[in-house]
Amino acid sequence: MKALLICPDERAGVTALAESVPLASVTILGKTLVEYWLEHLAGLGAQEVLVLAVDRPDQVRAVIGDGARWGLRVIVIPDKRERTREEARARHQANDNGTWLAAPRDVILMDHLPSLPQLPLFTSYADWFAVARALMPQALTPDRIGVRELKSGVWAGLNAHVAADAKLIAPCWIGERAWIEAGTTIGPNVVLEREVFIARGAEVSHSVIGPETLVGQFTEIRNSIAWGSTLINWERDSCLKVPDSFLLCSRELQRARPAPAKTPARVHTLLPAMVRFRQYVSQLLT
Amino acid sequence: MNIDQQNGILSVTGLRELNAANAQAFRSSLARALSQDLKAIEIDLSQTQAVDGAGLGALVALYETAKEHRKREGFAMRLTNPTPTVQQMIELARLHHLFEITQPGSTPDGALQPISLT
Repeated sequence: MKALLICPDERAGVTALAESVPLASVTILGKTLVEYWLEHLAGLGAQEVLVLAVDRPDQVRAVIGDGARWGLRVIVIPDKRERTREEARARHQANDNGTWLAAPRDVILMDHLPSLPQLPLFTSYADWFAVARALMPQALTPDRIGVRELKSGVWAGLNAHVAADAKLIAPCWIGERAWIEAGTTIGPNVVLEREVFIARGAEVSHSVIGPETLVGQFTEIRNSIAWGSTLINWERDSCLKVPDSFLLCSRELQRARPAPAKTPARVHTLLPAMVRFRQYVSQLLT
Repeated sequence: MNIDQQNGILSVTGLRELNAANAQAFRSSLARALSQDLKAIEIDLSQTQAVDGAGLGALVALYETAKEHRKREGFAMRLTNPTPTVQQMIELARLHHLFEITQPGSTPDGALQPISLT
């Protein structure tokens, strides 16, 4: 049986989320949106899935490959604009003699998760956060190898490291190979995606931290989505590019630097006050 | 940037950016304006579009200098009307625990402005 997935194109409410990857490939609790849907369609008995992608189809293809992981045959079809379900059905089903899943499962616009149909993903950053929060209790599925529940409502992925004195407040999700240093407070309502690094003394609550993001020492992230150096306050709908990598940055950029960049050299040389500022904040917390 | 002092309150307005480019000059200008009868520093951030760690460091350094200046007396530092992105930077660096932040339509203690009915 066949099915058709429509990747969402740009959405005005969540433009910052699609800066580095198309919305279909944005990660939510360790999996991309398109992966959730392929898994779901495989469970419904689909064998072949056409994926219509307007925004960066190559990146979508790179995430899902040929679909063999799910026992599917997947074909990514670049498109010029996002089709409605009716348009997609007319273009791709009308002259196709294959057997399709029964409507409405035959053509799906990926603007929500299969397990949370009532929650739209891309209307606003607040809605995106609401989906991530709602997904946490149901995300511990058998296919997630190595995920364990550290205590009620606190899940940690494979090779995640949590310092002994880190304070974890449920619910929170700690992704694969995430690293949480000493003196941190994580939660409630926090999702740390894979390879997030939370430095000493930082506090994160009611927030999603995107993959490979470094949260600097003694920072505080609340009611936000932090994705690399992009910080979005989902409550106020405000978006900031953080200019200082010691506060917030992508670990990929951090690794690309020629020298260890715990604190940028220019800050030390130009302004010793910056160092005093960090000391002051650390004193406030001890 | 304009600096004005009245009734023991040092007010700063027209600050377009506070970052590595001007943090040192900002701090020096204000440090020179500190007086013995200083009760508070109010920095209007409504026109400030860019703040970085160096700028935040300058705010902390200014706060420390002013506190030292006042010694036994009480002293407050207020950041007024920050733009949403500047407020995000302040909160990320936790300075909202150190300074009073006031938004349009609120007084420093967070109460609503009185409305005149006449």
